[in-house]
Amino acid sequence: MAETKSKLADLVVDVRGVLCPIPVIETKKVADAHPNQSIETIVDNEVSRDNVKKFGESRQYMTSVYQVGKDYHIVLVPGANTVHVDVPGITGDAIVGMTTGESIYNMGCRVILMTKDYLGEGSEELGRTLMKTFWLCMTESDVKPTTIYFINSSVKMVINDSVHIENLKLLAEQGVEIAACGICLDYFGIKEQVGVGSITNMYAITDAIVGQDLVKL
Amino acid sequence: MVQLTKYANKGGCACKIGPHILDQVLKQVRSVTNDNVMVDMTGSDDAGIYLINDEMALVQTLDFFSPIVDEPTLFGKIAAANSLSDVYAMGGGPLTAMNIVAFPVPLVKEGVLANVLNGAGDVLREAGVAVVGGHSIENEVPLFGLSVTGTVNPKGVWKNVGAQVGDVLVLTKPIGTGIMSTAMKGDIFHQGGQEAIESMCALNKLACEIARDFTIHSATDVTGFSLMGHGSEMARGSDVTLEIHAEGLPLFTDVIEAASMGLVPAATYGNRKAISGVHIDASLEAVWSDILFDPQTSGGLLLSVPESEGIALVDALQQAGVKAARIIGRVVEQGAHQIRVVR
Repeated sequence: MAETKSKLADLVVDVRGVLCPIPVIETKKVADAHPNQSIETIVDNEVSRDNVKKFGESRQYMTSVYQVGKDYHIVLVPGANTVHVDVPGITGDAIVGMTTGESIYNMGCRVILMTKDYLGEGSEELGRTLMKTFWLCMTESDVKPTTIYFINSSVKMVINDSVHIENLKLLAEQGVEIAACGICLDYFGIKEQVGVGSITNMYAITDAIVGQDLVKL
Repeated sequence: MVQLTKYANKGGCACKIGPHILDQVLKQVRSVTNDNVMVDMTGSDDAGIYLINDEMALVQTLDFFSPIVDEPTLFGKIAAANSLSDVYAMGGGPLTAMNIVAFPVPLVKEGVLANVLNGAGDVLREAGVAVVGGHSIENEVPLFGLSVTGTVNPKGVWKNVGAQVGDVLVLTKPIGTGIMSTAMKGDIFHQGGQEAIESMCALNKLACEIARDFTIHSATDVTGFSLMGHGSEMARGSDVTLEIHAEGLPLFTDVIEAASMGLVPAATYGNRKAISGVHIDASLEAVWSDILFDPQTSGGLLLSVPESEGIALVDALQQAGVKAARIIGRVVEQGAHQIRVVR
């Protein structure tokens, strides 16, 4: 398999372009030969991503998944429980966190504050259309925000019959924290209908506004 | 030697079009039928049945797929056992078969196709089925299968509906052909792989003939849509819930270990996405999901029989040589889910 220099691990297994079960088998060969070294396996499909992750976990590696463009990098670190590392971003300005057993996509460092349920000013009608496209693009974007907060009328987007719910659920699955303002949900009487993410309060939102790299929309 | 699986990116029943996609297509297709049709595709059953007279109905089915193993003779055997299985799953007996061939010309010239056909012939001979023809085209990916015609007593047709509360569920072959085929491509877990090959080559003939002496409320064969897929079709059509005991399932050697380390075919992910209504008890390890949704090639029969006959059926099957047969669960009142998997 092609040798690629890795920032994340001692050894690299680049198995892009091949299908299950080769990525697992190639990772296993390297793991068997070098039991004490960390391994970065690069794949280009979700099935291989999940299978290599399973392999890592079955061998008690600390296993992390990063998305870079269309590829997935699965990093297996042996003797994991004692290690906690922050790794420099693998693309551009991304900051990558590491946790055990949990998929981490390529998370950017931005927090987004949604303040209304349409995008931009000038035409609300246009803004509602733009919002749909915005979420779709974000699900496909290489770099994700870490958190999206919803206040005022934007909370209407996180309820079950919202037109945005599928994209927001996908973002949540991709590791983006989705949190809606409880007071706002109460105001619109839709707290029971929340379909994605968690309900948060103004303390958390205030902290984000003053302490983090925040984009207001 | 030719490595047949290198020509295919998905093998055996793992190369099916996903059930959710297929459903959408079938919704747009107008039915073509007449009064003599007893069973057609509307009930997701295993084969079509056409009434000839009061004593006889025709059973028709076909199945073909890309190579699941490297050895051509074995591929032929597995394809034949798999194609015949649908007839047995309806309680019928196959009579004739026709070969369906799409093959790359170089492989034909190398004699690979002849070996595939001879392998299939061995299994068809064992089943007492005559080959009466076939059709072949040139294709980049090798595909092989058979169209099979058989008969069944119209009063003794087993459908995938009709399971009754109080029945027990009997499965006649181990689960895990998808996982083991994946492991074989990686050349590991040889023992389980060998068991899976033998199981895929084995006919459901014996199981069918023995089960005919019992009260079969419902039957299906477990193939590409996995135990969960075919089980939930049975549950949905019968308005019941199936309670399945995961740890009571017959499995090939090392299936749990192979699945744990990620030797999971892509179709498992597709099955899990497409099949709703399955609840797996939270106390079961995550690996069970990969086993329960594993696409089977030439899998066993899933039979729903009255509890009073369950043990006798399993005894009779095991004594006749269907060694893996066992009770894997029971049929209960319809609940929130089609299938409830417990420890």
